[in-house]
Amino acid sequence: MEKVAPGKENTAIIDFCTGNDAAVLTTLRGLVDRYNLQVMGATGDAGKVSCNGKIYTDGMAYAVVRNEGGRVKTYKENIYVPKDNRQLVASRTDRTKYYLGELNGRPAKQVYMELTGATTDKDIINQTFKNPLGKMVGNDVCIMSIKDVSGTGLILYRQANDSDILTLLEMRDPMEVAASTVSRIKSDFNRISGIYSVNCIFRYLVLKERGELNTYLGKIASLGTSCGLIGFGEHYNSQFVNQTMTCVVFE
Amino acid sequence: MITDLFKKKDVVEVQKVQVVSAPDDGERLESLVYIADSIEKFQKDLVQNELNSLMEIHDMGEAINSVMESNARLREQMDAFNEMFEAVNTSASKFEDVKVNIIKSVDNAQNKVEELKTSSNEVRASFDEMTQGFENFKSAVDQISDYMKQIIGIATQTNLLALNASIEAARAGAAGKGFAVVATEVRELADEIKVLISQVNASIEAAGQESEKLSSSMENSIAAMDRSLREVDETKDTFKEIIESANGANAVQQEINDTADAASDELSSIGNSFADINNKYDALTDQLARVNALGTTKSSVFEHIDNLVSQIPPIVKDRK
Repeated sequence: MEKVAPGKENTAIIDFCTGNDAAVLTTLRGLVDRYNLQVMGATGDAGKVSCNGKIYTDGMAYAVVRNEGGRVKTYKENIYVPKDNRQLVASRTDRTKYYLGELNGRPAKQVYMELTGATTDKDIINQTFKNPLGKMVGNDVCIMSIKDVSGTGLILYRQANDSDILTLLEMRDPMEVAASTVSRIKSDFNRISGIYSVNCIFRYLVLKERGELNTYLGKIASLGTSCGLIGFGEHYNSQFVNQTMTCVVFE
Repeated sequence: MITDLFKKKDVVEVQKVQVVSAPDDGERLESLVYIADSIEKFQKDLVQNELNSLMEIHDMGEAINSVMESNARLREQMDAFNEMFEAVNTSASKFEDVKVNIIKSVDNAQNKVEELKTSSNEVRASFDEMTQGFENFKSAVDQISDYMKQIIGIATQTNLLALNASIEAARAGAAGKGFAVVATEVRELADEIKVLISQVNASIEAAGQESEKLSSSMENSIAAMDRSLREVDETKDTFKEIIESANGANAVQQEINDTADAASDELSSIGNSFADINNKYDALTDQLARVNALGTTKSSVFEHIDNLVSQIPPIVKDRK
C-alpha cells in the first residue's frame, strides 16, 4: 500500500476471491477507510484464483491500482428494487452454510412462497430471477440470490445473519436502469479512459433471455473503452452482493 | 563488588525471561482464542437483542396500523351519524309545510264561518222584519175587529130603525105597506150583515190564533239563531287557538334544527380530533421507519464483527 501511495479518489483495489468473500471485504475495510480506497471485484469460478502464475484455492488475489492521470470511481448497478416497504427480519441463520431459516419468525421457504406465489422448490429457485431477496443497509440494497431450498429454509448465494432486515425485490426495466447508470457516470466524469466491469451470471442470463444483452453492452460502450467479465458474486467497496453489476471507471 | 551483585541479577533475570518465553507465546495464543470466543458470544447476544428489538418494533407497527384501521372505521360511523342529523333536519323542515296547510285550512274555515255569520245576520234581520210585519198584522186585525163591532152596532141600530119603521108603517095603514115591506127587507139585510160579520169575526179570530202560533215559532227561531251566533264567536276563539298552536310548531322546528346543528358541530370537532390522532400515528409510523432504517446499518456492523472475529481461531491454529 505504501509503495503505491494512494491519494484520495484515485486508487481502486480490483480483486478475486475463492470464497468467504464477505469476510475478505470486512478485513479490507480497515485499509479502505484509512487510505480512502474503493474496491470492486468478483468471486472466482470453481473456487480458484491465480496470482503471478500460481493458482490458489484458499485466497484472494488483488491489485491496487492508482490512476496517475485522474480520478477513479466504483459503481454498483441494481436492476432489482424493493417491491414494497415490508420488512422481513432474518433469524435462524447459519452464516457458514449461507442458510436462511426464518423471516419474521416464520419458515423462510413458506414466507417466500407466499410473497411470490412460487409453489414448488424448482419454482423458488427460478423465482430468484424475478424476485431475489435484498438486504437493506440504510437506503442501499444488497441483492441476495436464492440458490436452493433446504428443509423449511433457503440457501442463498451470500450469508444471511440474524437481525438482517431483508425485503423482497422486483425487476425494473434493465435498459432504463442502464441508461440512468450511464448518465450518472457521464455526469461524474468529463473524460473516461476505460471501464472494467463485472456482471453477475444471473444478470447475463436475464439480459440474454430478453434479447437485450447487446443493447446493454452498447450502452456501457458508449461511455468509452470497456471490458468486463461474468462473475459469481460481486464486490463493491465493502459489500459482497449477488445479481449485481459492479464496475470501476478510470478518468 | 557491588557491580558484581547487579551483574548476577541481570544474568538471572535474563535466564528467567528466556525460560518463560516459549510457554508464554502459546498462552498468548490461547488467550487470543479465548477473547475471540468471548467476543463472538457477546456479538451473538447483541444480535439476539437486536432481533428482539426488531420484533417489538414490527409488532408496534402492526398495532399502530390496527389502531388506524379502527380510527378509519369509527370515522366512517361518525360520517353516517352526521348524515342522520341531516335527515332529521329535513324531516323537521316538513313541519313548516304542515303548519302552512293547517293555517290555510283554518283560514278557509274562518272565511266560511264569517259568511255563515253574515247570512245568519241577514236572516235575523229578515226575522225582525217579519216580527214587525206580524205586529202590523195584529194591529190591523184588531182594527178590523173594532170596525166589525162598529158595523154590528150600526146593524143593530139599523134593525131597530127598521122595526120602528115597521111600526110606523103599520100605523100608516095601507099607504105604509110598501114602506113596511122595505123596512122588513132592511131588517133581513141587517140580520144577514150580523151573520156575515160573526163569520168574519170567527175567521179573524182563527187568523189571529195562527199568527200568534207563527209569532211564537219565530221567537224560537230567533232564540236559536242567537245561540248559533254566539257559537260562531266561540268557534273564532278556537280557530285562534289552532293558529297559535300551529305557529308554536315553528319554535319546535327551530329547536330541533338548533339541536341537530349543535350535535353536527360536536361530531365535526370529534372528527377533527380523529384527524389529529391519525396525524400523530402517521408521525409515529414515520419514526418507526427511521428506527428501522437505523437497524439496517447495525446488522451490517454485526456481520463485519462476526467476519473478523471468526478468522482469529483459524489464524491461531495455523500458528500453532
